[in-house]
Amino acid sequence: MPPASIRLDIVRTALADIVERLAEMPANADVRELRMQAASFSRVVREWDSRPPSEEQRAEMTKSVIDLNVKVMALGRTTQ
Amino acid sequence: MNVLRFFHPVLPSRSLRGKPVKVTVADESFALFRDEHGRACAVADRCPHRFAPLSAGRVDRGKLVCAYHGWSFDGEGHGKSASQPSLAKCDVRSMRVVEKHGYIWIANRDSEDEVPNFDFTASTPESGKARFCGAFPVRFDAPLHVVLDNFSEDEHTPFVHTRLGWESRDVTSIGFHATRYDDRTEVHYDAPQRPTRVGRIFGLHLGDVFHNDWVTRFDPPCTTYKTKWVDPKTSVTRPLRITSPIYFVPETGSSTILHTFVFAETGEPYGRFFPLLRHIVTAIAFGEIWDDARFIPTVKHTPRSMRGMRLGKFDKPLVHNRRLLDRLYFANLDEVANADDGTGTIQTGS
Repeated sequence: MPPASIRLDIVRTALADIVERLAEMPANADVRELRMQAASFSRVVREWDSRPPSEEQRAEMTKSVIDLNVKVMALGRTTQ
Repeated sequence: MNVLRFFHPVLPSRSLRGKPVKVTVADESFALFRDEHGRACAVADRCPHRFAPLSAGRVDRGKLVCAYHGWSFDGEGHGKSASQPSLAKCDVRSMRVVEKHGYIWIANRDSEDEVPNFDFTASTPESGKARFCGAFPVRFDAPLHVVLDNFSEDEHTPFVHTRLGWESRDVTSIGFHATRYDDRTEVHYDAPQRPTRVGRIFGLHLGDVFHNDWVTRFDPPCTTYKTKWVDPKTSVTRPLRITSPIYFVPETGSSTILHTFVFAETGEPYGRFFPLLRHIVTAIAFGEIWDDARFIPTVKHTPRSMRGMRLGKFDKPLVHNRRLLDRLYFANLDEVANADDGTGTIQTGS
């Protein structure tokens, strides 16, 4: 079936943007928690360069990044 | 006129759990929370006591509790002061809330609008109906009119996107047709699909033609894209077709949230792979929207007036959509009069 890299490209780009957005937010407990989550996802995705993920892991990571983006959006609203 | 006379999608259902969540539609903020039955509720995000944001509070036994002085509110907006339980007039504005398609939708309490069914007709009897793949929101750091402009044309495709659609060498061989109606705009584009790894996933062949047909309506602003690929020699449509209603929800004067719902029709042999394919199609749709969201801040200062712009034939839907946005969504007759005056000078030659 599909090559992994298309979704990995999308996930990597989105994660990099999310990390950048979080870095621009003033630090508080919620921001710090999301930064840790984003860093943890980035680490996992980096490891996939040497050890390709299963289909379930790819699907789960995409969902997790989409959910992380929702949390970052919500945090952006509360800090407005 | 308040835009919340229409139902708007505001948050994926799974993003609302034990804590309240703030959402904003057209500069009005609401606190979402789940009552004791797990039902999603929405109230104005302002405690009537001293205007503290209720979304900063907590949920206790199905009631939303203000973080400042402990006032509590049920899903109907009935409020009670913690320290003066007999105090009258403690209620807060509450909204109609519907959960459908994995999303929370809100409208004014007196709205008669309904959440759409997304009951898409099958393209062919054998393909079956489009099945739900996933849904997600993406924030655009630009006003609604700028974002709507972007999604009213595909001319930017080879420059902003890297997967679906055509590449820049094919910009002169685009098939394009737009029809303007009193309540909607219908647009068609076709062009050779660029070589892409997506092609392997979607069962495309080199030389296939990318077709993108969409309808934009304004009750509220929503464009439903229908994307397919066709073999130009045999006119056979490839087995995967994607249908994506995208809701453009103005958040503030400078930000817009796009809520995208992704559906796919999967002819054989793809039908049996649907549980896997749905994740891939959703991810690719997310990637396409993300591409737009990354670029849009570059043009966020585009003025509302189009006066002086050198518009081409691909921009005709933008002009019409701007008018319909003002007339049908904002119901702003003054804006329509101004827009008519301003757009009279627009050059839309081919």
